[in-house]
Formats: sequence, structure tokens, C-alpha cells
Amino acid sequence: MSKQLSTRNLTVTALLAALALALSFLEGLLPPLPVPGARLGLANVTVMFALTSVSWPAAAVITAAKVLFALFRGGMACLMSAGGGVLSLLAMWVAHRLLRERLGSIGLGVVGALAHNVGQWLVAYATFGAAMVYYAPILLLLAVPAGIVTGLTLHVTSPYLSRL
Amino acid sequence: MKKALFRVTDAVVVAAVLLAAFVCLVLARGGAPNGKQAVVHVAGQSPITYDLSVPQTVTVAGLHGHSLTVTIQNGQVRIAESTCPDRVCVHTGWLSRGGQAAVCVPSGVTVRVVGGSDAVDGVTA
Repeated sequence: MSKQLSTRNLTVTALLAALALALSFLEGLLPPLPVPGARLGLANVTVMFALTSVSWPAAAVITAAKVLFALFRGGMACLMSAGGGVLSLLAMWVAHRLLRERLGSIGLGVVGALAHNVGQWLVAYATFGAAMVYYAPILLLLAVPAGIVTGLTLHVTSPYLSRL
Repeated sequence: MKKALFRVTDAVVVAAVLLAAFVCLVLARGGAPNGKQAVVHVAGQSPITYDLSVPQTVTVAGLHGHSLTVTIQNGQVRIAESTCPDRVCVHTGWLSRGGQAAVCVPSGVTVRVVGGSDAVDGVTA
């Protein structure tokens, strides 16, 4: 798809952003893990799809929408969403640019989840300090299953999303 | 164009993350003995230290009007009650080893065990 802002791209981006917010909300209904900030990150599927099949500005817009939406859950949630979202977007963009087709959906998902957790952890560490050291290994480890689930979801849904 | 699901590069990424997690685990937690004190910290306030050998229940006033109950018993500490929405801090459960911590993001409260092995805490505090 072209980088030019076509009506089509605008609409697809808006739909993906809405989908991201819906997925964020649905995931919030699941019982929380006993690790602060640890989530599956299903909404990341939309960012991954935008990055690989639309354009990076579309992915950035969806990330911004997610961060703003997190404001409903409080200032701290918004800051953590911003730290995770921005780092995740950057890492996936770099990985996608450098590796292209050599990196599969699962690899992209793991890169995104890892960067998201690192970004969130940095925000949390700046706020809570030493207590967060305990959670660093778990958050790294959880990036693998989260990335596999989001990567699989992208793989399964991208043929349908491509028809948008 | 449809992306492949899993390629060699993906395996390298997964292996690297698992290795990093393992190294981090060894560095941050490697065989920490039981801690002696619990440090209760509300963001922006001075931390308060409690002795784990003294069983007690304290009420902590967190940020945004949240209230937490911290219980110390049998050399362990936990956040027993919290008015925060997700209660991740309560689900964290009992903490006893040095370095273990429960974090309540909405109320800005952390409970951390210290005094067992201060090596990690000494560097990062």
C-alpha cells in the first residue's frame, strides 16, 4: 500500500485502532496475573498488522490511540502504556526493516512483547525503584508466550484483515 | 504479502529472550536467603521498615484514596487487602526471601523484603 494518506488507508487505520481498543478492553476482563503490568497484549496484533501490511505511520497512530485509551485506567496506566507502546513500536519497526521476510510472525510478536515489557518496566522502575528488580526476569520470560500468542493470532487473522 | 509463521530468525529471537531471562533470574534472585525486614513504600513518601519477626497487621494509605492492609506473620509479609481495581498486589501472595516484592501500581505502594541478601538491593536501591 502507498505511503500517501488515501481515504482507504485512513479508514483501515481507524478500524485497526478501534479493534485495538476493543481488544485492550476484552483482555482487561481476563483475571490479572500476579505480576504488575503483565498482559497478553492482544491489541499488539493490530499494531503488527499495520506495521507489516499498511505503513509505519498507521502503526504509530494505533499506538497513540492505545496510550490515550489507557488514560481511562489512570495516569500511571497511561504512562506505562506509553513506555511499553512506544518502545514496542520502535523495536518492531527496526526488526521489520532489518529482517523483513526473514522474521516470521512469532519472532515479530516476541520482539514486540519483549520491548513492551522492557518499556513498561523502565517506567515502573522510575516510579517504584528497587521493588521492580524482582519482576525483571518474569517480565522477560512472559514476553515469549505473549509473543507466540500474538504472532499466531496475526498469522491466523491477517488474511481476513487484508480484505479490509 | 503474508508473513511466514516461524523461521530460523524467530528461533534465534526466542532463544535470546529465554537466555536473557535466565541470566536476569540468576542475577536478581539467585538463592536469596530469607529476609529480615519488610519495606513498605508509598510513592513520594519515606519508606517504612517493619521487622518480619514481629507479627502484625498495618493499614497503608496509598495514592488516589486507596487503602491497603499489609500482614506480617511467620517471617513472611503480604498485601492481604487492597481497594485497587485489579488487586495484582494481593494475588502476588506471601513474600519471605530477600528481594521479593509486591507492587500495587494504582495506589503507588510497594512492599519489599530486605535483609537476607542485600547484594542486589545495595546496588540498585
